Amino acid sequence: MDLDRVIRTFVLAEQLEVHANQPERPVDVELVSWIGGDYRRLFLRVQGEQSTRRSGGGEMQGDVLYGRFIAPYWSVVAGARVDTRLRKDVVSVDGENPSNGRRAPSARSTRGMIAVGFVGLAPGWFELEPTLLVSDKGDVSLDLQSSFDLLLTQRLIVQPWVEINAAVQAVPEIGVGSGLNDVEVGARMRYEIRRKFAPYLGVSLLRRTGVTAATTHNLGERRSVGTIMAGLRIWR
Amino acid sequence: MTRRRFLHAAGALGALAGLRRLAPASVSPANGSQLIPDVETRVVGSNNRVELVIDRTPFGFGGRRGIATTINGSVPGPLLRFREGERAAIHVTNRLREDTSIHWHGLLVPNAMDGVPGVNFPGIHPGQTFVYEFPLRQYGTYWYHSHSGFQEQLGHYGPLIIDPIEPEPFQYDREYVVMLSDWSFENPLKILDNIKKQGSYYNFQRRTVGDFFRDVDRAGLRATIADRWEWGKMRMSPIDIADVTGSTYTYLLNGLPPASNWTGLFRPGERVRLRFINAGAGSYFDVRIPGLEMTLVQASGQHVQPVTFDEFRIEIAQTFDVIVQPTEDRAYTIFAESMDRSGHARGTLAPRAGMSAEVPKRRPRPTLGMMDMGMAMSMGGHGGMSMPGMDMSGTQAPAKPSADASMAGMDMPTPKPAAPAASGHAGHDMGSMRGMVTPDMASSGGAGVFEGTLRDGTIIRASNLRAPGTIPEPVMHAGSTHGSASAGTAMETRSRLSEPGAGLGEDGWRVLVWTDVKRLTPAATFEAPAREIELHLTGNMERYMWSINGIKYSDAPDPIPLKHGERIRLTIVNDSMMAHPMHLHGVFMELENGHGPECPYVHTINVKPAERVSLLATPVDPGPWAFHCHVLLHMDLGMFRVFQVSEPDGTMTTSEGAAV
Ligand SMILES: [Cu+2]
Repeated sequence: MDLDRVIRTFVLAEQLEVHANQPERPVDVELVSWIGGDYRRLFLRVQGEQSTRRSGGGEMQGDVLYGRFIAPYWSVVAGARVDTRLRKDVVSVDGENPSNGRRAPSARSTRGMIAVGFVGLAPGWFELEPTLLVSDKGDVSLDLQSSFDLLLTQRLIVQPWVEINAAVQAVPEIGVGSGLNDVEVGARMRYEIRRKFAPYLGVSLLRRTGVTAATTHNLGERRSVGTIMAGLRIWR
Repeated sequence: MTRRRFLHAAGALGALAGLRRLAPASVSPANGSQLIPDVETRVVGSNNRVELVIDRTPFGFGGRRGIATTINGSVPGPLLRFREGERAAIHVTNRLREDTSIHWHGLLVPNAMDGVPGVNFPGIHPGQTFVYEFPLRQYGTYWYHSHSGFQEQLGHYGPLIIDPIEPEPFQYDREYVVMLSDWSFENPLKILDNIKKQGSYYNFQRRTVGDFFRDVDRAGLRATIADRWEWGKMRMSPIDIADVTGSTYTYLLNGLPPASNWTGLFRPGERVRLRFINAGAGSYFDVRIPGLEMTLVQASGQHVQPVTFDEFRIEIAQTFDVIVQPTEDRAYTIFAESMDRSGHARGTLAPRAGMSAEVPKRRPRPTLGMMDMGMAMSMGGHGGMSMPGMDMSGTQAPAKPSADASMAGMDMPTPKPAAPAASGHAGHDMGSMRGMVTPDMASSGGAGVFEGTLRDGTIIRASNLRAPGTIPEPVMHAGSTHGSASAGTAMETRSRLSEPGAGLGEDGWRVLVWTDVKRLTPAATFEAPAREIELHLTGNMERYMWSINGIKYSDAPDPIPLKHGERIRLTIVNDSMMAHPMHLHGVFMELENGHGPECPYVHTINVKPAERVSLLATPVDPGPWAFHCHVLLHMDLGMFRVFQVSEPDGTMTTSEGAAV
């Protein structure tokens, strides 16, 4: 009868994948984990991408959030995010005039942010993780992710998702403009060989908008990027 | 052959290649190895002394092996048989590396003998022998099981029969115990961990895209989308029938898997009494014997007026004694489907050993309806609604919905009391009631003085109580929705005792429902309750939390006080989407199914989703008594409370080990 107080650890590698059609052949990792009981949990989220080419860079983003279960499907979370980018090409823009961008040698940029948000399940079974971020320089941005499981069979599951990034102010150092930055939609189709072990194939389309689009365009990247991916979803 | 001789066969609940072979060849399993319990353990003598040893023993079948928690080396444990009016002395020795216990399910015993660690006693420590001694104050079919950790899931249970002093009001030629249970080769802790992280972990019968298109074909696009949205809006699933399923469970009959085909012998024309016991840790069974009708003679161990049917659902921890009369010289299959249709247990009644009959196909898994979500059915306009792919279960349901009324465009009614005498939480100021309970309220001048809400959210009513033995009116849920531990609180709860339950009653044969069950002899005095105690069963599948009034046991404050000898009405309201078999220790409850003084006695009652069940009881034995859901995981996660019965003089005593 004390089992209702057990502290559990959950680790989900939502993505362990290769972006097969990208020139950099990046590998992409997304981990979601928590430790805690029913009402209070510490959430850890890690997202990273690393080029498999010698010339390529990578980026990593990590969240440490304390969460409280406040309503049947919702935890409110608060904590910090660290964003690190290692780039061969770093761009500097003034936000107003994207054409000022210039190439620079590889460099690392790191920024810390305060994060607050929710982790939960919206009506209709949408997993939703809206997060509001305030950087050490006072920049405010919003990160919204949502996904959904569609069962083709009991084991073959399609998971469409959407991720939206928006910012209140431009952060030129990292190529962020104000307003809606990018929208990514995609779907992964996994086969649950076991509940905890599912290989998948997926596609996604990233659409950059506004200043962000213009900035990256100057680096020779396209406004829209389509990706084909293959990977594994594992949890324990 | 005498009755008792036949019990030897009944008691030989399995047979084992390699370990021991006590059972006749007829019950020898076709496949795999079984542990055999000792044949009948009744010791006829002055003191009914029984020795039980709890140990770990290899157990398996179908080539798979695991370790069971056994009683005298077998699963199930030995059949204990006593006579009413005598005294039992049961010596229980613990050879495990952890504490153990035995609870005598349904038996009225002194508090210290009830066997719930942390409530009635400290538990039996490794190496220790504990002596259970109690008078046998009743007759009937019961069972016993561990109340420690997950031991019950691991095989720690057995049948128990108390023969009556008075001759029984029915005849039979032979009898068998049919004990149904569930076994997994997975560690129960692992099962819990999996389900805690993904509520649907063991459910391989979820709705798919194919189901969507099938529903569109049948009911149209609009209605199907409306249906999916209604459920999606609540983040509930109409197929949440069982949380641990046949994907990990093997369903056992007398300890044997379906392939082993436990067999009970009969001579055509004989009347055979089958003592069904559901010892499942998490499984309800729908039982039928194709070709035979069954007549119920006892429920929860107590005589009832005979009622005949073709199928019954046995709730977890319940016992039903039925009589069948096979006349043909052929085998009959005892078919026990799990409620969610993810598996079945099976046995055979046959004139000769080695025979078998056709094993029926399992039916498709049932789908819950809006009624299970507690959607108000007493709304104005149309009398009901139906949604694609949903059985609005219940042939006898008072509010049988019309088949074509659609959910689409439905408006939620505003909560309103459905009946003046049953206004739910309405009118109670929950806030101001908090903390009002006086610990010694029982001594404060008799029943009926306290009315309000206890600190754990339990509602107590002492006035405007309806007549005893009557069925509760539908009630709209008002006030608290029990916090984050409770998802999708039922909007309206009502009596559903006349319904067979999800997935039953649509096959054109007779199904036992609780409104059919009447006590054999009407109560000589049938008093009205002095107080009503209302508890709400709550849960959240998302986090797999289970609670009462939204509060887990470990967070619950003081026990719920009851006065020795007072007449109480216990009202159990299910605000969750799953069925819960609720069991109150230490007292027989009279199920208010509309039959007044003929209301049947029960020790366990299933409460369907969005159901409101009321029971009458007169607690006499003082001390703390457990009240809990008999789904092992639900109980362990907090669907558990303690009722504290006062001494005759009104004082409260705590028995040893009660301080936890
Ligand atoms: Cu339960």
